[in-house]
Amino acid sequence: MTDLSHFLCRTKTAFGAHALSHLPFDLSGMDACKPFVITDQPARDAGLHNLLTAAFKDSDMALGITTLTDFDDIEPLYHLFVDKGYDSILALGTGPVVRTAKRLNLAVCMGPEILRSDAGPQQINRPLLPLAFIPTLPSDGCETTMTLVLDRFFVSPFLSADLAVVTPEAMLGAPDNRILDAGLTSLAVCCQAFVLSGSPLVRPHAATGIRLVMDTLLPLIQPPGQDELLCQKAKKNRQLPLAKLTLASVLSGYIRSHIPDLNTYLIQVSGMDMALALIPMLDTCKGASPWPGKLLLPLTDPDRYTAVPGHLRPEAAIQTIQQLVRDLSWTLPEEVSHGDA
Amino acid sequence: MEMPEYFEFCGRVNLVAGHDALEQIPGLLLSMGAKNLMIITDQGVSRAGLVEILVQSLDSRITVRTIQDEVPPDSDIDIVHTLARRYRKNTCDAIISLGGGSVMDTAKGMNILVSEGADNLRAFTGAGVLKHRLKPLIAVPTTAGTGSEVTQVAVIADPDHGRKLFFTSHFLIPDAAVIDPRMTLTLPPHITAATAMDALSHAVEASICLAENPLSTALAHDAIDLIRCHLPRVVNHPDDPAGRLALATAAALAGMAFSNSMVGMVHTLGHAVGSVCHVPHGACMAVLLPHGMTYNYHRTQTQLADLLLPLAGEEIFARTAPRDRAQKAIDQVRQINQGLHLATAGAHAVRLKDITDKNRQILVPLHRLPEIAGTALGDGSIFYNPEDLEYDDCLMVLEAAFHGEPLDRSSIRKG
Repeated sequence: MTDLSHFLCRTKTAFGAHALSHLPFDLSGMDACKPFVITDQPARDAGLHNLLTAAFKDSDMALGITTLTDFDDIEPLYHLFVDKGYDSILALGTGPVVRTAKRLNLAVCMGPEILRSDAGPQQINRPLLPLAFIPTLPSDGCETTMTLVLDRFFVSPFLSADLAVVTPEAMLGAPDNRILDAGLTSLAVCCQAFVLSGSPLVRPHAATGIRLVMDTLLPLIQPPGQDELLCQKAKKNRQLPLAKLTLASVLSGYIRSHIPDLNTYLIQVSGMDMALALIPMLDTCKGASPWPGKLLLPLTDPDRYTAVPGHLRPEAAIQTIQQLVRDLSWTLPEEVSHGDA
Repeated sequence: MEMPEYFEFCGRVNLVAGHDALEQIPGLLLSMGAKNLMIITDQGVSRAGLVEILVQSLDSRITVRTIQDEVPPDSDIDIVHTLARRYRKNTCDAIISLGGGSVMDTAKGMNILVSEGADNLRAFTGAGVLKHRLKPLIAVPTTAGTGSEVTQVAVIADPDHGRKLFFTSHFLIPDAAVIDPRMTLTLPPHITAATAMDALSHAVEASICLAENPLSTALAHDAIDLIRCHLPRVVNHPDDPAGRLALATAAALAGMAFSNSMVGMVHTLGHAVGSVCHVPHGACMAVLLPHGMTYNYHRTQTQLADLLLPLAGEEIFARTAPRDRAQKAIDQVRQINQGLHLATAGAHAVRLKDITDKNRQILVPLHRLPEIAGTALGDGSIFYNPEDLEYDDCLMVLEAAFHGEPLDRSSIRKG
């Protein structure tokens, strides 16, 4: 254990089938009764907003739903929100939707001028309005961090969503390169956090994220058989692993803020690049602490972990990641995979 | 990875752990816009000099308005109401709770009153009643077991009505839990053992009970690993600060785990033994844990087998055949108890009949087991136990724990 460690995650995570049906209770537990749903066109086109309508059908809460077309100008949203007296925000979608939700929340609670680039330093030291995030795809985890990057950089625990609701029914289909990118980004963040963090709370979050990626990523990327392609059921069958991978993204977002060294290693453009950068990083760290060796446990399973002698585990962990990258590279079309594993 | 159909996880506490963690408190308070403190503690903590250490760690930016050290061993509603009046009178704007479970629960209860501007705590019992964030509360645990510093519950006695009041809300989770080994260095070995076994029971039950989920299980396994690695040394060398930090951290991890996946029959029976015979909670947990694992064996073999790695370490896990791992995990808990029994010269009991008070008086007489079994049936944790429990089942387990005999698996209910 290190001399001093901090960990804070303000977001409550809910996962599973019908998880949205708990939303009215959660919102009412935060004294909210008039939620404003922000979503994007793909989610709207797929009818995902109807899931929310259904979840709130038996509650006495009236939902307002807006589909974002312009992510830059939040003034119309701000006026709509204030004029109609909404008291909470549901962000249904991916990164741009959540970023807009955070901006709106800041503007409503602290005044729209806070978003101006010349507004001067601001401390966000009190809770904003209740904010729930319902992801529709795995991502790089930026949605669940406690930061907001505009022209200016805001960081506060109060910027985190109060709730992250991951449910298979809200998963959109996604191209393989997007799934690959999200999965490998989560893997890289979680592995680095596992090895570099001194926080005893970061490691269980990271280990869970790693297990979720190792369980789901390769099966999701492997090309489906012809029968599966034609089968609606197969599409449905992908929703649970997609949700698991999305949960890994959510967890990686929680831990990002707690790893000061992370950005040193992770200024990479794609998940594949990040996974490839992970390997020399682990190689550099492997003599410095027991954690590169212990990483083998979430990457594999207890039997394989204990079967490898302690001194060989760091190398075995690296090989496991290399093998995953190789398998993914062979599975994907050439234009999607890049880098030599 | 096995996933439950649905789970929730909320660990909304800033966990600050380290050898000088107390020195972080001023910064934490100021970041919450607070600087006028009430410190709540008990007389044992006060006499041990821990309040002075805490106060010295603060700086000139923070004013300690009042120190209240009258919290009784079982928190009750009267002290909560009294402290709320003193908080207002001293115009405080934040609370530090310094102590064990009772102090933590008292502080949570008082925080409800001062934050809601209320005078009657009874109006806030149950789940989901609180709707708003409470006043800043920083929890500094002085034992390494209860995990109250990270949980969303408080239990406060209401002696006038002869009942316990339960409060559950995410808003009850302290804003920060500050884990500093200086706060547990003076704990005697047998209390160290009992509180660590309390934490171990939280972790084990969090991993096998009906609301288990992958995040809770990961936290629980890490907690168990820390306890296995550090408890034997700390019991023999109580002034080991690294070991103390590890055990206190394990208690917080286990607390967060069970706060999100609940506990089962070990706590069902343990609460009842404590309630009927006034036995320290950790002592009950240590004795009952292997029996609870055995009772649930047929329903939780996979989870129990997974527990062997953190409970016993890599070598034992690797050389135990997969089919034997669940039983080996139970044996390992018995072995930990036996090691603590020897290391504390018998003060750490491994049978209910051996639990005594400081005057060596037996606390759990055989003739009270039926009453304990009856009381257990009213405990909420019974619903999260993997296997059903009726009165006869409770009595059977209590009798086995009383005599220190293993449960006969053939007589355990199956479904």
